Amino acid sequence: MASEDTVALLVNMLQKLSSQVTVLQKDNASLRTTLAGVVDDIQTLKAQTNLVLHQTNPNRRFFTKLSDLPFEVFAKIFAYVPPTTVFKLRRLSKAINSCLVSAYFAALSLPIHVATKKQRLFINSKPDSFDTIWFFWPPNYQAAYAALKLSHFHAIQWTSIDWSKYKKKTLSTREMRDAPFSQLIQMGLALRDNGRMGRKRTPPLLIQIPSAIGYLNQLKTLQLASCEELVGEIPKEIGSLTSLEILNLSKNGLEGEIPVEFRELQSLQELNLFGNQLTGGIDVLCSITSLKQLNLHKNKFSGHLPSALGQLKEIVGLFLSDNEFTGPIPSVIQQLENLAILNLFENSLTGTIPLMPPRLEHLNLFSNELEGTIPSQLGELRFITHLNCSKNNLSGSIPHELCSGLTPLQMLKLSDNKLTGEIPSTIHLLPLHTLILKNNSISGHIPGLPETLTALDLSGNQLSGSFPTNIGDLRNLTILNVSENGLNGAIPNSLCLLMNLQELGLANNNFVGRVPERFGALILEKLELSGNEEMDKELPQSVLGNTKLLEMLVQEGFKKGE
Amino acid sequence: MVKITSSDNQEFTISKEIANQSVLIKNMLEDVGESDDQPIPLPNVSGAILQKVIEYATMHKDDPPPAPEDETKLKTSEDIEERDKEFMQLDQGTMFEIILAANYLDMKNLLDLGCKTVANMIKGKSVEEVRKLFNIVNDFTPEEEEQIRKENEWCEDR
Repeated sequence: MASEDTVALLVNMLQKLSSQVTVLQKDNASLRTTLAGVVDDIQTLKAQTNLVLHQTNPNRRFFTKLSDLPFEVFAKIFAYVPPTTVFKLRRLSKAINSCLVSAYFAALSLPIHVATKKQRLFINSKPDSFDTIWFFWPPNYQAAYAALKLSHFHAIQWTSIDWSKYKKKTLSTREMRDAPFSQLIQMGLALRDNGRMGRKRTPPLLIQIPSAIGYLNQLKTLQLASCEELVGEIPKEIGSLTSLEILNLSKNGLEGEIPVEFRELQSLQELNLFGNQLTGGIDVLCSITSLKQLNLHKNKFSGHLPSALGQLKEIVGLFLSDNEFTGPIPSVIQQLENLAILNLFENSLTGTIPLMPPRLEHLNLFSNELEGTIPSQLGELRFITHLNCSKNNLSGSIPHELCSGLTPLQMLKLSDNKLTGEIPSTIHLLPLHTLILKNNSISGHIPGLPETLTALDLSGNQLSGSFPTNIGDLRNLTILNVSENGLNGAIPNSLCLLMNLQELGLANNNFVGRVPERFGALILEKLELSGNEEMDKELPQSVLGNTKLLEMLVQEGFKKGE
Repeated sequence: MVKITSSDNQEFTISKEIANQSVLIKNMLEDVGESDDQPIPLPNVSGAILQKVIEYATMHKDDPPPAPEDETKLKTSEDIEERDKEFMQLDQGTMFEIILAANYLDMKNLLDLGCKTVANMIKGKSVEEVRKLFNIVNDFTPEEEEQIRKENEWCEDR
């Protein structure tokens, strides 16, 4: 029977032989034939060594090792380890790593762990734990999974999750309803670990949209939204999903430019990319002529608005607000016959307001650098309900056409401009609920106002005369601010009829007389009345019982009577 | 009966149904014809290992033919017959030799059994434990390993 020494000798010999062979193979190709014989000998020796090792001491290390197995055998072994944990074994060695990240391994492993049964569902709005781990797998595995498990779906809608599915008791109902995609991803990992949420708070892991998304070519709807941890660029492979009608990647941490491949998305009707960090221009989107809604709100897009926007003949909603666009609003906007909503607020747009398309309902140009006058053509828009041009450099007066009663305007905001002239006397014909004209240079009297108003701010102008007589009829008013004007006369008693009023600003005018007798009936959150030098500072009896109002009035410089 | 010889020239005489469990031998037999009395050389398998392989094949000679693959049924490394479990109670060297032999001889069931057995030894262990168990040399540079650790953050023990 072989002794320890024999074993040691055998092992030693073998190792020497093996290393010599390697050296020789490198050195000279002509020696290979000769070497073939030597290799055969080694095989035989190896087998014998194993046997000897086995007979002498079964607990020893053996000459044939896991690493001696051919690639396809070790792929087969690792394929039996679940894909939730097998990838940590990438760190074992280079050979094992290259096996685990290969397409060969993916093709072997997936059918073992993922059911391939005929899928009946075409909408995936509740990712299972593999779906969530998809984001973390190596690219080859992602591709195989996408092809096997996701490619038949018509809709993927991963934005939030129905937590009740996981029978989690510690979350409130509200959390269950609103749990964003990001929590879902972390949840997926936690479920993998131990079937419940981990106690340990670990920092959330960042993910990217896998390039393998390109395999999902049946998709009509793709929503991956509300996940701050979803970062990196939008993969160009999304451009190959040519059946897409709805693409929603909003409220993630995506950056970089929109891939040029997006021009292939010729069925796309709705594109929501709002709430990311995307940069560059938007020219590529102008060739997606099927678009009905384009929402790029709250990103870092820049450059001029392209004239090619005129190609978007189907567009109904155009949301380009809160970006870094510069230059003028292109005049082709007028040709967008279906455009109902145009949001360009919070950019750095310059030039004048161009003519607007006929079906426009909402126009928001708030906080730009627009100049010139408010075009009277806006008064021809038969459907316009909301108009906001606040915080620009607009001049001239409010066009009478806008207040002709032909437009169904409910909201008119023109504050923080350089407007002059008078408020058109026909303004009471509009069904306005909000009228904000503060911080301009508007003069003249306050005309009769629509009774539908809930918010009225005329502060910071040069208005004169007394309160309009019908002020007591504006029963829905919650905000009334006429501070910083030149209004005079007494504060009308009818003001005390505005029982919904929460904020009242009358400061820095030329009001006279006393605070109205029934003023104490008002329940205000905010009151400004100071700076009316001519007013009688003595308060009426009714106010004394209203502690909060009394306190505010005292602060404004008024005092209790006898 | 069929004669086969191992790499170390041991000769074994086995029945045809046992021999046919190896797709390699089966194909060879079909090629050389029934009448040939020459032993089939198996230069990649030693006598000791060939003996174990024959033991396995004998144990399974009366198995019904395998059911057609059920695509919808997931396979798992847990469903191993008791007698096969016992058969695989081997030292690692022999176990890997048997896996190599099964791969060479094209014996699907034995190869599956070997792979499942090794997979079960790996499951639930940390990278370091697996390295130690199978004597695997970490040939990564620290930078390379760190890179993989980073990519693998999601499945490392958190």
